[in-house]
Amino acid sequence: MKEILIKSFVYPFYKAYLGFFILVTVVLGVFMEIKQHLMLAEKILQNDKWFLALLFTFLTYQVFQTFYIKRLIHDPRYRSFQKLSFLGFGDFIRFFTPVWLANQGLILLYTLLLCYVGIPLQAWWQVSTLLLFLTISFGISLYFNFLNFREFHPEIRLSKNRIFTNKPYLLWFIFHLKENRPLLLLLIKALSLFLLSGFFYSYYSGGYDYRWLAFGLLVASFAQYPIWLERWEFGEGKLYYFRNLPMNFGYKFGREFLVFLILMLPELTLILYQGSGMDHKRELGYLLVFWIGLNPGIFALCNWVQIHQKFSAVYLSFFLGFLAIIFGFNLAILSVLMISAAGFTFHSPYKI
Amino acid sequence: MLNLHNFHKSYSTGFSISVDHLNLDSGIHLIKGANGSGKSTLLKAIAGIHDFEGDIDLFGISIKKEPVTFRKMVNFSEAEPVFPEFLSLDELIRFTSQIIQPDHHQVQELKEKLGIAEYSKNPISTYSSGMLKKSALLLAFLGSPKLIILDEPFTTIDLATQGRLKVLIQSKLNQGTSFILTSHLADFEDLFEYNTTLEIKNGVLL
Repeated sequence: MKEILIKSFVYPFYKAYLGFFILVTVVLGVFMEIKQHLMLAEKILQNDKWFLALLFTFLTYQVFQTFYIKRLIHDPRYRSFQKLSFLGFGDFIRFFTPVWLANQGLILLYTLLLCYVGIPLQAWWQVSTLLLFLTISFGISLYFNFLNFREFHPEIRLSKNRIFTNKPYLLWFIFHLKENRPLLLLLIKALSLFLLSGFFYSYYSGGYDYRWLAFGLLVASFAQYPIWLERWEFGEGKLYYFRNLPMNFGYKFGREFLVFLILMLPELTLILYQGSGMDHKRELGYLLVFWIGLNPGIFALCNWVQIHQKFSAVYLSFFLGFLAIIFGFNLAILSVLMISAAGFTFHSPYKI
Repeated sequence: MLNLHNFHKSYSTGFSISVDHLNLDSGIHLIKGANGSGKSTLLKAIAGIHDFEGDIDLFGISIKKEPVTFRKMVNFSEAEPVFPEFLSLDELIRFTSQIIQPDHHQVQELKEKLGIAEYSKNPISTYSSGMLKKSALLLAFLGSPKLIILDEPFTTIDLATQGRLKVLIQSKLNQGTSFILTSHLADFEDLFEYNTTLEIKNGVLL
């Protein structure tokens, strides 16, 4: 029973928010060292505002998790789990506790760190508040899910979109993200814009040339990887029927390129806005052209990695991109190469 | 009409299907086989959806050498259709029509024949399995294909639509369109006068 529930309610949760967990792992695991984690934990425990912000973050995560389980319960494919409503709350807690613990893994790990830092600091009020918060949220979250199993709800179905009554192909993937991966889209775009702002801020602080900004674009483009992975899965799954349609390369590629441009628009706007203060406008032009080439390139890379199952190619590509920037390789030529790689991907009649 | 040469398709699961040579003349052809025998895999390859080893040509046009021209001649309806759930059938028709440009009145005519009512304006996610199947069938009849491949066309649709679909297939056949069909229904073999009846067993065409 435990394994079935874990497979049904934990794996889908992590899979649905994979992009978010990758970002958290990269930020907390790669960009931060243990020393910085300990310093941050101390700061959280010593400053009430920071501590409240942490509780709010935990609460937001709990709400997302609980509502995700609710959505699963209402999924027609999960109808067989309605039988869990025959259980009493005590038995339900026994069955569902492993699911809750597994889905809260990130929060529980961070709580352990805060306890580790807080006990020597004698931050008893903060540590006990945190543990009380987790105990209460455990009870409320499980009781909420228990009630959801007991009440039979109609299936959640999409209603007709009143604004886009005729959705052009260019918007299909955006609608797919909006309906199925809204958090992934929002978080990745937020991170990407945050990273680019940081790179521009440090550039204007002095000591860097425009290669620093090009490196920033490279980092921000790799942060988009989960979006392009989603696009790959969308093409392989819900769009695969359309491979039967007679579409020539020019039509396919032109259409996909516009989809890329639409999704790149927030960063393009930021580059134009932030880059307006650059001394050499030609460099700004190169950066814009580079950004336009980067995302199709990342998609081509994602496609290749998925087909050949060579995940190390992602690190290798990032490293090669980094070297090309460091050694001052022309950004426009790099951009053309990456767009060509995407063109080669869409050249296949089995790719949509 | 349709020729398969050294056709081979294999999956990482170990399942594979091979056809050394197959030649089908114009007309209507039935492919029988149990669940998981490889029927849908073969049909998807002929429809240009799955890649494979070997070659397939239709009226001398190779799918490998001229993929776009080949696809212009072949339409397909899946056994269990999958479409983006946020789109309506009308949006799917508009998108498909932009590419294959069917006759102006064809869409309305097909909607009437297949019993597709007002629901075509609603998102796919609200469709029943029968409505979804009718949507896939409508798309398969759109335009002027030379070959229409229908995978399990009669399952999940109501009896009245089954009757109208039979008439539609027969009339298209009389106009010169060829068909490849599959079915599990017991009386399916008597529905049409097939030019060829083939059977697939464990990935081998008997």
